[in-house]
Amino acid sequence: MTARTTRTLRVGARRVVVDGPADLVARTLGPLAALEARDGEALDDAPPVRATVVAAAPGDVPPDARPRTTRWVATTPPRIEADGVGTATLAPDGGLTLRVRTDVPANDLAAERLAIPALAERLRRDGAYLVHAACLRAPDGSGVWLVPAARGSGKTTLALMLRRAGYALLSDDRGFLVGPADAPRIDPWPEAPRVGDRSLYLLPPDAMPGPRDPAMGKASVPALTPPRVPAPLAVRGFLLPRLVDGPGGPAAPVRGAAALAPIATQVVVATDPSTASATLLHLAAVLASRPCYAIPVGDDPGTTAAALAALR
Amino acid sequence: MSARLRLSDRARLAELHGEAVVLHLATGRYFAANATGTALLRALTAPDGATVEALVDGLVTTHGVDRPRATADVDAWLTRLRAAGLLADGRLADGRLADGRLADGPRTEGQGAS
Repeated sequence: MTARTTRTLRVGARRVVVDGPADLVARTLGPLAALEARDGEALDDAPPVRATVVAAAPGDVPPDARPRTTRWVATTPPRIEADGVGTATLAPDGGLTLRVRTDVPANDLAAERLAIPALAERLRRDGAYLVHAACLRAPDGSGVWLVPAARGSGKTTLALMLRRAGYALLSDDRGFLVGPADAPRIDPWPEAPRVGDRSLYLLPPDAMPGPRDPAMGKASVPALTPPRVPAPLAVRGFLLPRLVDGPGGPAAPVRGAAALAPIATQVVVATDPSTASATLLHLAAVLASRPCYAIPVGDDPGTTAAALAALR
Repeated sequence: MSARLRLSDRARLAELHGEAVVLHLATGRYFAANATGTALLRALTAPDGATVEALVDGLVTTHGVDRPRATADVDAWLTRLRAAGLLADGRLADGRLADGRLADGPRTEGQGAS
């Protein structure tokens, strides 16, 4: 008989309870395990989001197409399909059922392709928005800077430069934006940063990168895995890195579409069109309430840190 | 009679500081517009959409652009929207593909993260 398990995650102050066969739950959660609730963390009294992981019947698994896609399907009830992984159904009561192929590999595939998009879609409906952004807490206590940027745009390089300058790296890649648009907070997702060749020189001597992921061209640095903060933190603003030759330069305010586009593209993965509309409007309202700067990222961390310090 | 154009059902628009971003939900492609392009996008989100002529008229009236230039700009802009899959009706009013570049009109930003 397969052992069952129940795992409790925390997103913002919200509980997410996941149950199912222990091994399949572990393979489905993957990096979501970093969000597991811990003793002493403040959780709200709202009913938890419930997710049940079940073994998918062969007919429940979309073919393993290339490239793999994850898509929203407007059935009743609606579902999310992930090629080669399984499906997630959103029940009218808000519960999620994740049907995952039983031989899904023990890497991040099931999480990244199915569980995370499904959970993100579910949580958007409760006002918690998954954003792809590095999160750095300013040393002066003024809040957390978010660095939303696509792969290869200098997000990790900027994050590691600021880390050297005394900023606390709370996430290299993503977090959940919670709270009202005029007082946004971020719950950083503490994962080890993935570092490419460009950023290797920014690592401290005792932080050895692991094996390089051939698909991404980056290597994880477990020694720099951020701590899990016990509660969401106030958002100070947004930084948009721009890779440049030379040492870097001063930051410049960014407004309008140039500020909105890098973060607005977060909403397009396997989402209900109506949820997408609400998410876009919320993100625009958040950006209207917080400053956004373009910051040139060159080869001198001191110049970059000074550029940010000048914004205080 | 001119065809009425509108944004695709799979496109979603948001504005910040008077400038818009339109996302295609299925592909992740996005289109960022300056203030002028945002005015045109608003016209395309009207329930009945807008004709090419109405879009051109808007540029001429609101921004003082001469009509030949406005026509060329709108055609080029619609071509980019269509290429990104963001237009429900992919054909221009006269059935041809627009050509030309915009000097300071709406701009595309290309592929978004997915």
